[in-house]
Amino acid sequence: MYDKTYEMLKRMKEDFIDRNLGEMPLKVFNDENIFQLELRKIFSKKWIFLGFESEIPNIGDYVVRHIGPDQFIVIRGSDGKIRGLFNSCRHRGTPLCLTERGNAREFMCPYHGWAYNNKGELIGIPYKEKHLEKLNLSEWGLAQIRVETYDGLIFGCMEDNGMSLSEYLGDFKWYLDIIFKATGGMETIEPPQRLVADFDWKLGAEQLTSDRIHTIVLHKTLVIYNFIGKSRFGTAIEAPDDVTITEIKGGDGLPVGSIGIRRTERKEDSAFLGYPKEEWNALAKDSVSAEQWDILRRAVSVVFTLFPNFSGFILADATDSPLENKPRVPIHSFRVWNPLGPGLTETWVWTIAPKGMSSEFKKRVSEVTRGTFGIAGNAEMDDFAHWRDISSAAKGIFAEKVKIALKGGLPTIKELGVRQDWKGPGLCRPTQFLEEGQRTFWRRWIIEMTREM
Amino acid sequence: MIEDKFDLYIKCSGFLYNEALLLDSNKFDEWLELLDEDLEYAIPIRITQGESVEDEVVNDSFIMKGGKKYFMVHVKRLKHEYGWAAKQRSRTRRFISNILIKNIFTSNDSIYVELTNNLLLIRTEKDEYSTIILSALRKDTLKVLKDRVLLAKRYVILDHSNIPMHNLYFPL
Repeated sequence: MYDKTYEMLKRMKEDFIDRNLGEMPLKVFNDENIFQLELRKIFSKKWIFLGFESEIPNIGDYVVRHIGPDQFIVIRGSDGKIRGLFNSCRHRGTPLCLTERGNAREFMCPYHGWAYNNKGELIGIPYKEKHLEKLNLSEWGLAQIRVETYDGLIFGCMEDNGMSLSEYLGDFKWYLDIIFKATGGMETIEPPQRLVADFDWKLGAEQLTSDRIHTIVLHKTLVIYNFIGKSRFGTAIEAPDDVTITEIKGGDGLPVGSIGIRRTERKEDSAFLGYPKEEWNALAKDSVSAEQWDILRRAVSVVFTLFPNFSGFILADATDSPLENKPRVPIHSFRVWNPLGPGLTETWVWTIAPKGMSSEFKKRVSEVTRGTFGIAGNAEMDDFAHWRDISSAAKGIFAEKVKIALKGGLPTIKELGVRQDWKGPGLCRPTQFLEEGQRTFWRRWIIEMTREM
Repeated sequence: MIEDKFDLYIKCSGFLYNEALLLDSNKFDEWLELLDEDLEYAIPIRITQGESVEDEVVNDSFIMKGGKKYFMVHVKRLKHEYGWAAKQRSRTRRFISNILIKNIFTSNDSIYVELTNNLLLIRTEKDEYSTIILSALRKDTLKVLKDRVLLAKRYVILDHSNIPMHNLYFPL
């Protein structure tokens, strides 16, 4: 059965990379073999986002996070180091932690009592001298994945060897710094929302690479009812300096992400993503270069996907309740699209805000973000519904034959030009009306899916 | 007094059943008329942690929260031809049960009834054969006036910390 899948993927690679047609089979959105291959070739190889350092600030704090169906206890050990402990006892496999978060000095298995400390070391077995006298405890600590952090973001990688997180992120760090460093650092305001629904994870990931056009069609009502109106900075539909940076490369030279940035119409106007002036002292100008700072200064929105499944965006001047006279603040929605099966995805949605800003402001960010995004958000409720239908259309055999188009801004279809004056890494396009961000995601995907193991 | 309480029970349970019917019939405009001007409506985020419901429901973290004005725009948006979430041919059926009156008090000439009830919501999408189930405990405060009853407060405690649904475009 895998032969057919490999054939389909090989054909897609020819179409997508060799011939640059921007075409793919619909079937990629719902297929058992593709799901299995994704787990093996992507989710067990790449650096996967697990959460924010601010979720586990103290020694012993943990959250349980998932990569595909695998569960890891992401915990700050007694030595202050963050680890990713596989949530399963090394004796008979029993999960040790049944909660989603908490604080623990140790975990004791309820089955036969094997006990582990918060560094994952096996520290005791009941009646050891009677039946396991010579067993070396140090050989039976919990299985772990590599865990590294960047700008307060925690990532895990199932591969023992290979690139560091920093190498994997490569040029993308330049853009992460604008969001997670120049803002003075971000922290979570509340626990993430979680939902499981029958749609493919790649639909969420590709959209947040920079799919601007859907916001104008699918989310038309957000503007009609003034959830997101014409902002103070004058960019309702398109501003002259809106850009999309695609083909941002990791340390291995492969595309790792793209980012869309909407900017103030006039160069001299400062937007700082719509943060209120009285909160600007929380920003950290000296933590980044002058070029990065200027991008933050003029940014009205940022939206990105980091391959494979970490996405986020900040969008100025929104409200959850247009009839009430409450302050408009930026939406801050960050998420992981975790594949659980063919056409089945668990979505984790975090609301975050710059650490140094007032608690009143953060509370308002939380209200506005949940009113627009997440499971009951007035914008995202429409996205989920359509993604579900797409995955349903992709379920059958005919979907292997049906090609779908992702051609916006292909050189043969519409020449976009390049912003030569752009100071950051990646390919900067002078518009957001394109599909090159999505193609960046899919190029990396098809490279990984057709890579020899 | 006993008769009064029985009468209130009938009024309140009748209100909840009627409200469920309106929501299940997508009569969101008529549902808005059941809301008190000072409505406080919230669905908190639930996390699997600790021992009790109180441990699991995190203060100040919500999936949905708002008053009457919040829902007025929400409903308008859903009714627009581009209000896609409500155009997906979802059908909901709410089963309300286990209604227990917890407290009755009077304030500004209105009678308020605090009660708890169970919500079982079954959702069917289009012509799909499988259904999605969601269950919750609701803590409601109803305002009982001479001629009608209004929803003054609702706090929905989901049984799910991982919601088995693609969206919640409707109130629970």
